[in-house]
Amino acid sequence: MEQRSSSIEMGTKTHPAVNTRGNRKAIVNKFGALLGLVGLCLILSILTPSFLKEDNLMNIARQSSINALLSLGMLLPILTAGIDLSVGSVLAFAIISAGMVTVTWGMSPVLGIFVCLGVGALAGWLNGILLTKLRLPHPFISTLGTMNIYRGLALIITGASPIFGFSYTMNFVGQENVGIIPVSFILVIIACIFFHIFLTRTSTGKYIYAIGGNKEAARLSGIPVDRMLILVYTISGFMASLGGLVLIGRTNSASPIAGLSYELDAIAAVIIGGASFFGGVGTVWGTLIGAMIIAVLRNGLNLLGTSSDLQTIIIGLVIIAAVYVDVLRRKSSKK
Amino acid sequence: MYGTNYSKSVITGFYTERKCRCNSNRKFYLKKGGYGVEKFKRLFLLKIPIVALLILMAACGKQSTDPANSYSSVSETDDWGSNKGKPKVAVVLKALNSEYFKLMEYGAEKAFKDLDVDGKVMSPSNETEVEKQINMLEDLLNNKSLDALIVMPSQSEAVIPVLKKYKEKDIPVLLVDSDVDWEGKTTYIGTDNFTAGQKAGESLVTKLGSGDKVAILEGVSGTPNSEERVKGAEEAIKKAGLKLVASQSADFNRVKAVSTMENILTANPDLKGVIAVNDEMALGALRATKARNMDIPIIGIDGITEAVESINDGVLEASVAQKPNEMAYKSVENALKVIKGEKIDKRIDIGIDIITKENSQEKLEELKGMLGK
Repeated sequence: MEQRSSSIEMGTKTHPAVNTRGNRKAIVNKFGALLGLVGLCLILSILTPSFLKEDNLMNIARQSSINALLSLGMLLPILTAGIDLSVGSVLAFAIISAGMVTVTWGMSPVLGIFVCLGVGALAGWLNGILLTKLRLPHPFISTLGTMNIYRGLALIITGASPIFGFSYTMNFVGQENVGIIPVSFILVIIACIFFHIFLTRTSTGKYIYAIGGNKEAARLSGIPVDRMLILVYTISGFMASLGGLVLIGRTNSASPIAGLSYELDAIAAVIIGGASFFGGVGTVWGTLIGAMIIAVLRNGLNLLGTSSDLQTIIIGLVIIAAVYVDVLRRKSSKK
Repeated sequence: MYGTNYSKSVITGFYTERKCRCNSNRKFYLKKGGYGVEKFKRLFLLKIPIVALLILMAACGKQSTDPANSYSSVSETDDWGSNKGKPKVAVVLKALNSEYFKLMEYGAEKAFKDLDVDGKVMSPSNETEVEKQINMLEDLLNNKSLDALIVMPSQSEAVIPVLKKYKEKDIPVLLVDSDVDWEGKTTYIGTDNFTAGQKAGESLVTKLGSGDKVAILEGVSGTPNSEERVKGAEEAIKKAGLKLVASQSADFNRVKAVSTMENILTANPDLKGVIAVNDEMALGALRATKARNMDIPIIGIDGITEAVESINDGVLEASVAQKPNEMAYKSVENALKVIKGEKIDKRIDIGIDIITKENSQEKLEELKGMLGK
């Protein structure tokens, strides 16, 4: 929302927030998702006494971190009116690679971390190359393809069985706390700040919004669209592998079937956070809140002892409700 | 941007039309934008999802509220239900999406009812969701009135760190069906896969003579369920002097079992018997032998409804059944004992059933009763 005012003026685009209706509406628009999160927390703290306990809040921080990292990565393709369906598979492929290097071949865990992140970035880069150089019509297709390819590779490499026995260094990010705060959540906050600065304060970030706003106009105004898209998918892959690094510590293992359908949770978080599938709209903080809403909801429903089947239905309802509220908001501010 | 504008115009268009339909004073409404009604409508619409969510969650939160039952000291605040006084036991399974898990759920719930336990069966939606199961276990840990945990871990190694936290809080952890190599467990309740394989081998031996050629269909390589069963079956076969000509993996999968079996039959047309280490593969193997008009005994393991039906029809020879419902029932029973402070064994074997034509009818009815079919 605030990026609109600072972004390159693409002519036709006027964001609802930048409207004559005044400040109050702009604030509601800006903090809509946050209000949702606060409301949800209020309801849960009434329904279950354990919700507000320190332990539980730290659980939520820990449990939201993988999805938050993946969602931050996912935000970029969605900002360019694209999508990255391969993040779950990239995550699995990256952690399997790290497992091979450190456990199977017994090399240094620091190298393992670099391999994990490197493989993720490389896999993402390949997504970008496929999209821009093969001129596939939509990233849905290129990443749907690589989603299957990376998953298959992970299964073949490991013979379908998980890798155990990671060292402390590899487990550190996913397992340890600084004081009471999980390292993984600190990582999320750092990533958020970094992404926020990247998207709002650098020209590259503004190009990304501009591409989502209108790809042709962006190209005509001299933005290197292909290079930007490759960068976007590389970052998305990198973030997936960062999430993978957390998952290694969380599960004490690297499984080739890890991260199945994580892409859907990531997309849900981005959308709940107020981003638009048509590109050009969406913020880092909104995305973080989206990821938190999903984590809080799952946590609360677990505390209430709700069956997983019902949980999936509720998450589905929240996605639809969040987007519908957004539609209403846009409509009301258009008048 | 293009897209956003387009969609907006569509939505507004729709809305205007609807407004026209319900208001005769068209011009007035279009001009004024119907602000008052609009605002009300908007507020109302905004609230629907929130209210719906609230109701749903409240419904989940407050389920049965039985009168208090004097039992162990349970704190006043309860996260699920408000059954003060009853011992509280959580059963966390791998998933609830197959017959095996459903039978476990049935067993656990029967025990909750019989033994007056405030229990809950939970699971992620899929066996592959290892991390979600860990999240679930972490969340339950904060339920301060939980008296015991029964868990069927999705991935043995992965759950150890969180189970250790239960140990720190002195909450007994009972493992069911899938064992974990962890000192802190209160007990493991399950069946012995080696014995199951051995029994399957022995059932086959009774049908055949020494020197007959047999084959084994293995499950997913590297999983204890497959490896142990195969070992057991091999031992029984060797002991009886049968000739094992093929032992191949079909990943516990029926479709894969058909093609694997076809290949084995091509190489060994004179095969006399098959052991499949689960029923899915046994049913797949059956399809392959039928296609060749062969009638050789096939033994499965698990005792799923479809296999029992097949045995009842005289097609499949036998199945060695684990008793998931009994496993879950016994685990709740033993959890209660532990809560009361009784000592229980570190390992509790539930034993197995061998289903043949003789008892298949009875077993089938039992299964259907439990699954509510």
